[in-house]
Amino acid sequence: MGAEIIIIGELLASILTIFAERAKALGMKDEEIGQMISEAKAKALATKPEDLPDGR
Amino acid sequence: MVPIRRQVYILIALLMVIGCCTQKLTAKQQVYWGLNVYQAQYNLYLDQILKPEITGEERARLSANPSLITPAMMKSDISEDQWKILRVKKDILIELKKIVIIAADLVETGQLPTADVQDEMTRLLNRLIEIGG
Repeated sequence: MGAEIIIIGELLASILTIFAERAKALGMKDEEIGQMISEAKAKALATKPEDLPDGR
Repeated sequence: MVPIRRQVYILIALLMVIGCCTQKLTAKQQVYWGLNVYQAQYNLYLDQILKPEITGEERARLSANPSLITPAMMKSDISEDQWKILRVKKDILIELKKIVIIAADLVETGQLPTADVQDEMTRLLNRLIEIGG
């Protein structure tokens, strides 16, 4: 039961993050997004999802 | 009393409805959303597996190079159910990274993402929502 609650909490936090990011994007004007996209792209390029541990 | 699992399903369904009914994003807004969701989910993945005491520079080092993460750095109470979800999320993140970078490249060169790129990004974002992020 405890583990189930942890999973549910993680799922909810994760989903809420997605919608919060959507609301944030909606509040931006196209003219001011360009620079932010470049910065976010640089951060994404610095990640390595393929190397994330996955319990296997 | 409605079981907690059902409450969660109801909440997820409501959130999806809210998401579908809200204002549509422009192509650039969608790229920005995709990039930020990717980064947030990547960080959340690390939150879910790393011991909370790993912070600051150490955390940044591991974020940049997750192959340096050892079992001793990971939470010991991650259940097999959680790993199953994390594996699906990892696969989505690998795909999502490729597509958001392609979309960002297009925006940087003054173009808008093609319909194919937008559709693929939408599909992956929806998959993240379906699995619960």
